[in-house]
Amino acid sequence: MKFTTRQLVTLAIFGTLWGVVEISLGSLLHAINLPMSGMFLAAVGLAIALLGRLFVPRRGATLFIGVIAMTLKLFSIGSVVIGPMIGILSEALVAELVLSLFKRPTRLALLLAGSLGVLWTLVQPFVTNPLLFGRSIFLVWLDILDRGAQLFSLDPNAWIWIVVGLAALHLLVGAGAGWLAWNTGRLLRVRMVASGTVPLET
Amino acid sequence: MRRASLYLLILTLLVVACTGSAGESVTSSENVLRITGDSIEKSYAADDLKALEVAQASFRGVDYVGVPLAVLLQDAGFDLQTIKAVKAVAVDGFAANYGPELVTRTDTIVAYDQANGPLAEDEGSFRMVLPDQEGKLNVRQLVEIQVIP
Repeated sequence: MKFTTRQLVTLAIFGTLWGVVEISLGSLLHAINLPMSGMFLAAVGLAIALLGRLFVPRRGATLFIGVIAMTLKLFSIGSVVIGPMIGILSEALVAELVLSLFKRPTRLALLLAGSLGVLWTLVQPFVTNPLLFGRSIFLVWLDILDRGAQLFSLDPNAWIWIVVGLAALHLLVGAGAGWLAWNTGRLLRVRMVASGTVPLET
Repeated sequence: MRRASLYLLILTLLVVACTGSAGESVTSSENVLRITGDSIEKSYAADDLKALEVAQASFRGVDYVGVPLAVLLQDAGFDLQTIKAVKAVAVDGFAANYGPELVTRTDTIVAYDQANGPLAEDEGSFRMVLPDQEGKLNVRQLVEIQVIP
């Protein structure tokens, strides 16, 4: 995982972007108590990280962006940050693992990385809540069912439909993030080539 | 790029639309607290709660008066030893779940008054008060407590 200075600066820029989104949009969504705010934040963050991967298509680049964003999250004021910090790092790690399965970033790779990265936000409470907040896995399960039941206006007993619905929603939103990153990257490449600046390294 | 943004926008609107319809299924009256679960169903008005053991608890600098949750559940006929979780449901369908360790705490109360007067308008007739716990566990406008055995 050796990067040139130019690549490090590029990764730092994308990591900072993700961090700033987490601090600003994250605090706003937390304040207005928007349902599924974690999913939206993960999608925006991963779109930025995946775009960064197009600029630096090397192993470890996405994780590096996540580490920078996570570090910036420390500067969030007035909220508990350890959960979101672990969230950022683990989303970046999931995306990194998916991307490492491909030789180079492709549209499919970005869609998959986005989907699974955002899906992780659904799974993460089962890991972090018992470890950090002492909530049992059973309570986390009940919380997720309640959230899904309220979101889809379903009975909490229809757990299969709730789980399928939530998973599909997360996968879809994550795929949207990957798609957005891919198309934005392509557009930027066209513009950079047209303007004579350095093209993407793909 | 524009198409992708459009799809994202539509997705967001869909999610918001789904959220907007939440809570419509709640039909409970705000002035009565229902305790349900394990074939038990009981309703309590504020006067019924006031007849039970009185306790005080604070949340975000406000002192509340109410009945300990454990006392209320025992009065409704539940055995605290067999409870796996308790769900507090607000009038809009929002719910918070508590494990046995929170249920049996003496300062976990169902509040019907503030120490210096009635509950604020946005708190409804009843609210949960769990000192030192995060805001989302302190459910306002409480209409139902479901026991999960």
